[in-house]
Amino acid sequence: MIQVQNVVKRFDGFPALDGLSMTVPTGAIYGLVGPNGAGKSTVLRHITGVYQQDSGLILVDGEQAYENPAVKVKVTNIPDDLYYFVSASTRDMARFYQGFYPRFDRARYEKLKEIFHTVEERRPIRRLSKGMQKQAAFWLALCCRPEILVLDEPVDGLDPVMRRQVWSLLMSDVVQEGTTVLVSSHNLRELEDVCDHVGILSKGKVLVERTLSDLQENLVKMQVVFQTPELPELPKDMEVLNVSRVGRIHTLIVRGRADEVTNRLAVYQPILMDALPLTLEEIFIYELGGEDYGVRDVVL
Amino acid sequence: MGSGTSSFKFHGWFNPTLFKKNLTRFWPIWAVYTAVLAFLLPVELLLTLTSRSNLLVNVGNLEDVRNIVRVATAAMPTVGFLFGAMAAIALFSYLMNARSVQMLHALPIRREGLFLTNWLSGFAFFLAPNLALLLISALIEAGMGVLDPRGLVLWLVTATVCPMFFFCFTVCIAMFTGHVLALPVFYGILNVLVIGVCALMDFAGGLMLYNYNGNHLMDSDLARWCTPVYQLYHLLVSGRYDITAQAVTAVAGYCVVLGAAFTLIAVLVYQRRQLERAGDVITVGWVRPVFQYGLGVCVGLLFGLVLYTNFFYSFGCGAYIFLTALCAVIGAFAGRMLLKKTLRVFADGWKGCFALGVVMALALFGVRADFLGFQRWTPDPAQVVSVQIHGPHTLPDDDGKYLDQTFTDAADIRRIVALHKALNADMQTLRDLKEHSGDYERWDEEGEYQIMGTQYLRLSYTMADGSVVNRWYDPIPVYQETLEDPDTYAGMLNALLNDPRVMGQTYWRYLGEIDGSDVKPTGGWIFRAAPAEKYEEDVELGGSPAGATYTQSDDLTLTDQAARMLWQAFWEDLSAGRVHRYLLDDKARQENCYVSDINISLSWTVVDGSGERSTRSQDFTFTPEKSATSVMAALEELGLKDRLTQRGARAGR
Repeated sequence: MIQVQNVVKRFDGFPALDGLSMTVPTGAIYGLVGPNGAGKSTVLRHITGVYQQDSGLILVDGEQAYENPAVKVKVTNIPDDLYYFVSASTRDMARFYQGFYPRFDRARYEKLKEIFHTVEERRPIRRLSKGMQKQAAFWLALCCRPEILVLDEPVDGLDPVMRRQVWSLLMSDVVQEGTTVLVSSHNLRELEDVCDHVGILSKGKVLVERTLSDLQENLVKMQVVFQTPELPELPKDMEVLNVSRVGRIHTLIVRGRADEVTNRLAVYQPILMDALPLTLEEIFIYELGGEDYGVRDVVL
Repeated sequence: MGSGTSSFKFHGWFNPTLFKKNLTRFWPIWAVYTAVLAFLLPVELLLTLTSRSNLLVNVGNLEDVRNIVRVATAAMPTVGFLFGAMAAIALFSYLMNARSVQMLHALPIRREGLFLTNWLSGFAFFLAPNLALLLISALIEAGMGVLDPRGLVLWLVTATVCPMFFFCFTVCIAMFTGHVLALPVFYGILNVLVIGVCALMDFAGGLMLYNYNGNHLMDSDLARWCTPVYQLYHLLVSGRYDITAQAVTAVAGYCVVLGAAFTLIAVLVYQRRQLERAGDVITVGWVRPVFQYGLGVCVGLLFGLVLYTNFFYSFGCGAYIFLTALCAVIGAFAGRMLLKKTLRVFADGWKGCFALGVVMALALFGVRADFLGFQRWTPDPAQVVSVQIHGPHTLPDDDGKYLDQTFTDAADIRRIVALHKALNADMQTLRDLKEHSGDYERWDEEGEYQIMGTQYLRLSYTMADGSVVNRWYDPIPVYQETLEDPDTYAGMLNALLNDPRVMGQTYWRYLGEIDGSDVKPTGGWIFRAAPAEKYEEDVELGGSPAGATYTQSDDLTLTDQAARMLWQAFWEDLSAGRVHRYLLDDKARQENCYVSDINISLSWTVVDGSGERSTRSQDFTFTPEKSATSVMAALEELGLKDRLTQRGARAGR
């Protein structure tokens, strides 16, 4: 389990992480989402033991992550910006990682060669295309047989087939090996399919952290046609995140369970009322709307 | 599943995989290093020892071998300077890039482990080629029967410690910077920073203080110690032909002690390094202001000097101070730009930058106003162990023309301190002449006799605490009317120069290693040629006088006996105070001194370490003076007095 408790990290006075707390359960696929500059990559670099926090705690299985080889040996990391030695091939890097990770699995390396068959094993990684470099990164990371896999924008650059292939491999490891996957991505549609936990970051803090189902249950999209064309005055304690109207249909994004919200709106005797689940992308947008981060209409 | 060959047992402190990777990744560095040293030692040995002449006699020359090994050893500070830095930059360049930092620091190994593995890789880059080349060289030497084990061992030690010293130095610098281009720049600058700043401060001192001349700071031990290549060459070869075991031990001591210190600092800084600083010029918080304002000071001193000497020299010290302060401000802004990685630093940085300019200006004004009392300083004679005087240049132009003596007698020291005080009492006059470039010499209305000239004087005190204090007075104006006034510096200097004991030492100094007990004149000659051709035209030689023969048109060769007489007479006159030294080419000097010089050949016996005796010889020249009655009498007796060219021959002037 990864526990991040009240972590603060400042870069030249700027709070990149501002009391961030989050928990990644063992065996979970945890999606970390947030706007640009929210601190996603920064927190991942702390969890991989590269950066040292100014304050707070980062524990992996109860041990401090920073400068702790016993923790680092469990963690494999695919950063958003890959780095490999100049002129090192996938094969060279496999040998290199083999010298660092005791669980490195040579047999798996050979097996995965079939899956990543488009990657030329002896060709310098830097000469491969961006997508192939990503494939090589997954190939090497999976051979390390990590207990925790930290991925920053992992499938960026992969074609749809290879994306599905990679997620399939990851899911398989999660199921069979109990691997914990912590993934940061802007591709919310994709995360929605694979994540069981989601944390939404904004300005160096976690705004919301729940299982995906909890998150989806906690916000509901209500499409309502009231008796009057105008929106009636709703109860003050009803937390409406967004209201829009098309004709006489009002679309309300309300915080709460669908049945509760339906019951409360029923008192207005609407002509038509329907409760719809939100996608992760909608949740992301409406949650951050409260943080003054939303799509603005700008006339140019 | 897990790999049997993995080296996880080394996790934390050393990783053999990384070590091997370093050797294979950076092979060009150690390969070129090996090639360079190979050409310096084994290849050179092979070519020399198998040359045609050696093959003919089928034996190598041990002296040739020693020369080659000596050159190869002496080259190591330079080779180490280049390759030590290259290896360190290559091995620790991962710290300068955010991506590589993330990759390597996410690996399950401690920072100390990364450091140690990389450090040992660097050590291997040098030690392995050195050992291999040593073996090959020894085989070549042994094959030719001229094995020089001592030289090879000294080479091995030097060839190992020099690159490693520079390697450790560069690694230490690498811990303070996160920019791969800044690292070699810092390395180059820091190698010469202290001596460079000392030179700039020497210039500032010389410009603003009258009696601050020369390279007091630049020539100091501190400057040399802080300039590694200079210090290594100083320890290794300075003043010697051969490279001794003591010299190599000193080099090894310097390299090992400082190298260890740099390594320790590097580890401590690395342990605290904020890896997100990769890409920054300076990574350590407290070093950032040091860098910014240090750069300001250096830029101020350097460009203040450049601008002043090239464009504003005529504006005087005030312009230098202004330019230096201005350049310091600009330098501090430049430093801030580098730190912040933006050109927009004025708003939040102007206070500090301008404060630096003000501090620089005040400091230089302080130097100019001599707040520390440098110009006014004179020693307590009781605290002076010895004082060395160098200069002035006196007349006549013979072997007594330069005063360069060390005085240890208390009375002499008091006398020189009094002269020093008299000079300081006239400091404003001295300073005005130096800064306003007034007349450096004047002659009377007819242009015949000098009435004013300039001299220089360097005083070097060795104090009771072992320190050496130098003061250099240049130019010193000397006026004809003050020469006989015992209360003026000119009068004091004149009296000192004409003290028979001082003058005797001045002449004797030119005789070098002669101890005086075994010296005998063995002939000589009289130069009849005068400095100006005009005099020569007026000279007509008569018949050959007794004790001398003509050699060329204007020289008379002395017999041994004549030389002995003149030698004895000269020292009689000198002891009796009848020989004079002159600070000006004034009337007294011109009327008393002949144009002709007398040269006496001296010879003496030297016994070397093995007891073998040999004869040495040297010439001694003095200008005959009319006041030197014994010399005049001797010349009269030899019939040579009339053969001296007199100043009166300058008819028409």
